[in-house]
Amino acid sequence: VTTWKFLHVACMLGAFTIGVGGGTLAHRVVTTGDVAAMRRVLPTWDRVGNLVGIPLFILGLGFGFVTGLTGGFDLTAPWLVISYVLVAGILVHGFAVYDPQLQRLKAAAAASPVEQPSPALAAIISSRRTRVTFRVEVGLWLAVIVTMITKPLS
Amino acid sequence: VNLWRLLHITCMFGAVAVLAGGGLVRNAVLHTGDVAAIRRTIETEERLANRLGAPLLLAGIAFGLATAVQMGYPLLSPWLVIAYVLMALNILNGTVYARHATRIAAAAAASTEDAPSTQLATLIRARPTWTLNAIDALLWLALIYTMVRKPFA
Repeated sequence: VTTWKFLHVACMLGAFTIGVGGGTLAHRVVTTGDVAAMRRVLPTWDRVGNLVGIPLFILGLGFGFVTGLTGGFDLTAPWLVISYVLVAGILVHGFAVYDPQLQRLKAAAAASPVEQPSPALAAIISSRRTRVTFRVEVGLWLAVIVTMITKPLS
Repeated sequence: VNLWRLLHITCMFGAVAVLAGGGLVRNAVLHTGDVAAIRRTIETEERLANRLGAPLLLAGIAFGLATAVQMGYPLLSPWLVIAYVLMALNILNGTVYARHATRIAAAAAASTEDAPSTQLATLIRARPTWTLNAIDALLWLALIYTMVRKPFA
């Protein structure tokens, strides 16, 4: 069981590191308004996320289920159901809201002059949507971590 | 709910994310050879590491010790000593990496924007750029294994 748990935690930490850690750097670079940096950092982070982050996330989920099965956990326990909902939230929000916003930022940065952000890029950078989507993503991740540690209602 | 354990794990997750995640993206940007992007990325990553990553790491270590005391673990039990050694090696590795990053930042500042100077290109291709990242990842994996498995406990 401890081996599966180790693999589950390691994969999830890896996914969190790329998604939230890499994302924090990318968002800080975006707030500087440096177009040259945005053009490099956003596609780089996007690529690392797709090639490494998402596979680690899926593996981590798989190892989590194996840990639950081999460890004798009730897979319908309230704290696990809460974590399923939160993980579904990460996936739905990530693919339906967060990623499209990232793609809009990338496209606007690519179309903008390097010297300063175009009006379209500046509008996306300062938009409430850009700030809120990243915070929601981080908040969902933190909620999953807290649920896994505290096991509420168990 | 064990509050100290919650704070320990949350802070350590945050520290790893900011330090290792930021470092990974920065290294990937280094290899694009775009001098303007390298300058901004290193500057932003260093600020995040100093203002967020390092404080989270220190808080996570302190909360970890508080967790051990609160849960009645002997602070000199073998698995905890292994964890101390791994954490010390991780901090040492991070210090070496920070020096390497400072050299890259100085070379990027001195380089022309059109193309990386010879010095900058050499530093980007140098072995420490990825080797130290790989050592960092292995040390974090070893720490997680130690925390989950508690060997010799």
